[in-house]
Amino acid sequence: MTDSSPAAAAQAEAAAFCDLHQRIRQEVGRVMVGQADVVNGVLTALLAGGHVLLEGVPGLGKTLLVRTLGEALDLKFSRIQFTPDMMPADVQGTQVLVDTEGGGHELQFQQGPLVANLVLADEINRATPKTQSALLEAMQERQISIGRRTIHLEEPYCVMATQNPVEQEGTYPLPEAQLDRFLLKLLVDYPEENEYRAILERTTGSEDAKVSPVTNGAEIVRMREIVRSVPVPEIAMNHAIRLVMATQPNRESNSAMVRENVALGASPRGAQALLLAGKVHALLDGRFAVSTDDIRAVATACLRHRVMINFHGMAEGFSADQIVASVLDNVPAAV
Amino acid sequence: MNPRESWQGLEQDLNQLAGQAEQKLQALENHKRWRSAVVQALPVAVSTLAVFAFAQLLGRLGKVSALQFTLWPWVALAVVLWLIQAIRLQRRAAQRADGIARQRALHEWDQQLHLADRLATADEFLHQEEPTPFMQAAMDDARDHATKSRQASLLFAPEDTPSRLASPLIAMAMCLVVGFFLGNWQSTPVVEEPGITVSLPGGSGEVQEKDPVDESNPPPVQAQMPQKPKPERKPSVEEANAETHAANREAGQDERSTKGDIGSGRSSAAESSTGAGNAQGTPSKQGQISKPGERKTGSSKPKPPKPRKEESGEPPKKNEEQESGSTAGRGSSRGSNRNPAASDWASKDHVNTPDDQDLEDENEVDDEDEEQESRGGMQPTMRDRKPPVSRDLSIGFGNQPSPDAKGRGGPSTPKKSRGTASLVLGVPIPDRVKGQPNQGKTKITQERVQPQAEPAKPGVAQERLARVDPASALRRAPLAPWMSRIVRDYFLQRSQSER
Repeated sequence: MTDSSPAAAAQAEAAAFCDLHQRIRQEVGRVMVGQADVVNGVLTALLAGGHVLLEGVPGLGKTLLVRTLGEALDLKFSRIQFTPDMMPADVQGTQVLVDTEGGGHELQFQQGPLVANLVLADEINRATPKTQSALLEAMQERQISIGRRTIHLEEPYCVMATQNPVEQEGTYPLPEAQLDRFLLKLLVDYPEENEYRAILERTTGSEDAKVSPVTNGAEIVRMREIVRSVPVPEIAMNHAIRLVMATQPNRESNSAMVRENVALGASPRGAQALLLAGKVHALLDGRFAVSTDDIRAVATACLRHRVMINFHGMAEGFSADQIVASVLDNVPAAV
Repeated sequence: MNPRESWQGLEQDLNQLAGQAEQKLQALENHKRWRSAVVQALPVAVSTLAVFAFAQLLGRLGKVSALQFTLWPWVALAVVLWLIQAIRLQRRAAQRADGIARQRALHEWDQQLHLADRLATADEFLHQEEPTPFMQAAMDDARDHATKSRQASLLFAPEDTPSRLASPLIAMAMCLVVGFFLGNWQSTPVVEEPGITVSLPGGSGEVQEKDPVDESNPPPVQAQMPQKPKPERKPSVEEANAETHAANREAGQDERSTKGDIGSGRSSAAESSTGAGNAQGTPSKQGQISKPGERKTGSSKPKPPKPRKEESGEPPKKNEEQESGSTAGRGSSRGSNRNPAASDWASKDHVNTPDDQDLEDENEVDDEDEEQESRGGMQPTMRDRKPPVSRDLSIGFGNQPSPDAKGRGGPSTPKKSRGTASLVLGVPIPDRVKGQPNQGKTKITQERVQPQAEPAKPGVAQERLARVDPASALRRAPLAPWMSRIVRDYFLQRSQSER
């Protein structure tokens, strides 16, 4: 087999993908200490063409991670700090009255911060659902409709939202339709002891870590095409479908835990997320096709925000992660 | 070199691996089917041994002596039936089972060798007509793994013993023990069986003649035990005593138990009529109805004392009514001699209805008596709340609805107002004026009666429970009782704090 064969080209593309991923990780790692799984998840969502939701208590570096990623990617970056009094026009843009050269006035459209490549929606659950829902069209259709004006958003487009746990004061839970649009939901946990030391050394010294761009938008778009070209064998696709169906409480064949404790299961968008994230996982693992192992590896991050626990489940103390884990136990990877 | 040719080696490797895995999986499936069939067939053996135990029980009771076999033929029968059933189930399961899929066989290799579905994926991509570059790369990637996998072998962990095997085995053991125990216990007193079999079909005169002899000669202890379920003989023995000792209480109790046999040929109305006859002091018809042969059985004599006691309170009443001499409605017998104004009409038109009879409560009559006594002597009753008798002069129906209406409202015969409506107390009656389309004045008369509290049945709270079905399309699991209690307590506390 020569190097010019299609298989060799695919192998080269996969290697380039892994190389780019590694470079971004290194650059982010200059600022961000630890949180390897979170960084991997954020990059997976970025390269798969999805959006990511980061959840964690304040002070864990969620905003820092996304801001650093924006600097490393050399993309148009904007940050929206969500507050309870924020309105959709503050996010999408609105018409403002400006002076004309002739001394008159006219209405001119001014774009909101949503028009960018990489949007950091900080503390998204501090805004009202009305403002949260302003992101729906941008996240799914990659466009914003304001009045008669439609603004097409430039690729790559990625919303990286952070939120505090819903138990905290002054938070509005995200609507289900909004949650479903995030490819992954990542939980940011407290760092380890050795990571604390590195964090303190980097943040309390006089030297400030500089992040330089390692890629650009065009390369990100190219990587997304590579991800899309990864084939999914039937066995992996069937497994993804069975996993998604196993989270739905209205099926008698599902486990009692799901039927009794889940109000809403994953939608077909959940299966799409499983396959897309599984493709990235397969490429990063040095393979050229998605396997059931890839699907299972990304299942928790892809499904945990798509599984709504009912009152019974909350009272019993079940979390979405436990439900997904039980689903993974009950749905074997075998044919 | 054509890529297809380069993947021929991979295809051969995959074929060999798939064949090897299919054989092992097939053997595993056969083993599983056998295990399942053996377990599923166990109830047949259990049933056989249960029949054995039952037969031993029947043999012990002397019902069927032919079923008393020894243990081992039954065990052999159970084993044979069990094997036949297991073979049948296994064959049926084998017919329904599909073959081992090639993809599943290769997936088994992937799982055991941690190949992340490389072999199964490559096998699928090999059959693609136009594999994409990534598919080709995947097949190239799987080639080395397939070659290495040929040197490995599949291993399957032995399965645990199914837990459902335990209960049938326990049941079999219990049947065996019970049957064996019953069989051994039964074997010694077989000699006494004829005596038992003669006594059981009793009920005829022969048995009654035999039994006193048995009682006079006390039988052995073993023979008395089966005689326990023969209650018919004892009354028959004491029957003779009952004729001579009518006041014997025990005999009377036993006769009561046979009461149904005697009166079974008659209707309930016949029984009530006999009771009435007794109340009047007339001789009972029961003796006339019953045949001489039945009287001989002797259940009629001890019977009369009880009905007499029960109906002893009624005859004086009836005599009193008869003494009144009034031919008016029986329900108003008391009032008929005190309110003569109503009696003539009542005797002509009044028809006894259930409502009228309801008004004849004993309590009400007593109240009236007390009121009259408090006023000092006999006075006209001021509280005659009985519905007035019909003064309808139309021929034929009285207070009954017109038969032409046939149950519906329908047109009826024209009412003849003779002031009847105005006498009905407390009921507003529109005074219709003939020829005038609208209603005229309304005349209302009211009765001066002190309101009396009526006991009302309190509402049952259970009839107003919370919603059970979900209010929306979303499915809601029913709450656990402790959760419902918590929610209820919370709202109760909240409502109390708001007060």
